[in-house]
Amino acid sequence: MKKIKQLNLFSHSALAIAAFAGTTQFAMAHTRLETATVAENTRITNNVIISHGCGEENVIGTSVVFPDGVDSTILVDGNPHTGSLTDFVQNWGNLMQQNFSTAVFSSQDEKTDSLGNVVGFWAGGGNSLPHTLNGYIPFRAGAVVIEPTSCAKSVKFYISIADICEITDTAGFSEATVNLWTHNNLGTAYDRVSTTDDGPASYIVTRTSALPTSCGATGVEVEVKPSAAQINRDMPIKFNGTQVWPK
Amino acid sequence: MPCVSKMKTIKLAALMVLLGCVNLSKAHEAGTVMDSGGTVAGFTGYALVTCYDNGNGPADHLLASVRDLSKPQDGLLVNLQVIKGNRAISTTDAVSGDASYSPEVKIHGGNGSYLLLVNKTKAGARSFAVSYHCITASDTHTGTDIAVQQFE
Repeated sequence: MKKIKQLNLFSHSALAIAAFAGTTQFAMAHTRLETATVAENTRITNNVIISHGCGEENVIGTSVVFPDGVDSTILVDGNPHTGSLTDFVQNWGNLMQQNFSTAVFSSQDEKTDSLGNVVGFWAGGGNSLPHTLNGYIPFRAGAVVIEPTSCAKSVKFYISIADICEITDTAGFSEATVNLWTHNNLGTAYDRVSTTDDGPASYIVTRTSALPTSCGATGVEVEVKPSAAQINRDMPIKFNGTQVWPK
Repeated sequence: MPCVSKMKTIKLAALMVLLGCVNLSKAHEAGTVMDSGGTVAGFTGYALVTCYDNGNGPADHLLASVRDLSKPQDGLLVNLQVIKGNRAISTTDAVSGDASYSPEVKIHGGNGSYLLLVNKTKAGARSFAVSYHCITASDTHTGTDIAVQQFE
């Protein structure tokens, strides 16, 4: 009797594992950063991790955009902040620099704003990334300095990413052509179709300095989201000056 | 400076030249042309240099200097100011077009963001270079990054 119970338990466990690990397609991982949380004043090497394709379609490129902090939306404990990002971060801008790598794609480049500061990057071309495998796109995340006079205990930056499986125009975006790890509510053609705003990868910088006494014991959580204008400007991929995605 | 000629705007030129196009002898030396049209007396370049511990130790201070690469012009000199917290310092390249930088200035601000301003004494195009290095208390070079905030 005991043996039968053990067999039943094994069978149920195996079924459960099979259901979660392989035979269902429900829990597809989002594209995220390898290191999502870092202490302020710390530079790290990081990776965008592409974890799957568009259904059965391989990934042929990726486009990554960091909020520029210029016209970004800033939330403080979930409430809109009308001041600037410098109220909480001293040095945001040009901190994310792409590392050269042809491990996944053959071409890559950084995207810059009008002052030449890096606001994103792309990688693509060469062999496609098999839809069942992970792809690591490396970059250097520079040291972020939280304004010491602020009450910020952490600052979360939302990073918008498009994993491209087929080059189309924006009208051709679908689950078979692109995975949009973007906000669902900016009103751009790049918005993720989702009921929840869980698309972008997050990068959280945590404070190491003491909070001013006026902040109390807990401080505030700051979030930074890109504007629609920035997404429309910076999400497209340009190669040698010509836009190649979207068509 | 062929890479400069490819730039569509002077703003774009600013960081690209600052960060990569000019083949200066070592990292953290950078330059470009300000007031290329020669009409903006108040032209100001504004950048943030972040000092941090890259494994060599926390920064104790920032060393900086500026070099005017253009031919001498009467009354036209390039100046660099560095600000961190409640400290500030400035330096001027008194001899334009020679091989020397201005006197090096040091500001003790530890880790964090240092404001660098570059300007000049009157209207006129100036090709210039800035040297900026975050240094530990034991005189070792440590983490140094830059972002341009303004170039106009």
